[in-house]
Amino acid sequence: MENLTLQELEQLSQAYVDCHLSRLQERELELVLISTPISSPVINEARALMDIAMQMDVNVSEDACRKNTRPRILKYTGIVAAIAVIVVCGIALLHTYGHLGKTHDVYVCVDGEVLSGHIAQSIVSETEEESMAMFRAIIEDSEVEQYLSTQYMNSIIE
Amino acid sequence: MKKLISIIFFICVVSVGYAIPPKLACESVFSRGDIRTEGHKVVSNKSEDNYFRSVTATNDRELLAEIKELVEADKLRATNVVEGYKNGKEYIILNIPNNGCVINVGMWWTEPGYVHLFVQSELKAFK
Repeated sequence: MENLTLQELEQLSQAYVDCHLSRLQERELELVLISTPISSPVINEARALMDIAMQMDVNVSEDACRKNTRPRILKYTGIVAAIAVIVVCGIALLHTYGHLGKTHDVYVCVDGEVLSGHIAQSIVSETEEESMAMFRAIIEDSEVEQYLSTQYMNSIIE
Repeated sequence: MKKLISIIFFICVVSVGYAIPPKLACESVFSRGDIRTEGHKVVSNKSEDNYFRSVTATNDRELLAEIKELVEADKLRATNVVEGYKNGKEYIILNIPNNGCVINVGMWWTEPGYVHLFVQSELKAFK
């Protein structure tokens, strides 16, 4: 592999990056790239991969070498998943708490007609007061009934 | 990496689950289109410390039947239930605890088709 031109080195480096070289060819290319000062983006990429391979110091078969492309895919999948999480959480939280900026909101619709202004406000007040008055009256009645029933039961026992 | 994706997915599911408010069954009545027609009254009054909604129908047996079913479903979540008859109307009152508050649900009706339903609590109770 000695005395290779820039173009040949780039082709071999590309083949290295694509895992198209045998293990022996990879070793030879590693020695060449270590000893030559020639550089280009593809050659530098191959050098970076070689550095990683040497640091790992493992015997990687050709099949295993092909698998080295998987982490990249998973890396991008992880980034996409993280962005999706942020978007989904943002939408969900906005949906839940987005209305908090509004301090007071009145809506009245009578016989299909949406009302506003003082009329709407008075209908709201009237309806709410009537509802809550009935609600309280029912609760009080039930408590009184419960008290009277207990009293009557106790008087029978005594 | 698979572990990381699983963790992210778990966080996503938990976040969405946390963010979606636990709706009462009877709240779905207020999104019906037919309550904004002749013979019905819809009222909503929303502020931070009070969120009141009500629907009243003067003669709608179909709506009455549906509201009864929905309130029966909510009854399972109530800590206090009062049912009875007063002034010519049947009634049911529910107290449903949620998010540190109590949601009050009241419904009274007559068999011919009069029905009044209201849901009231602090705004945070519906989160």
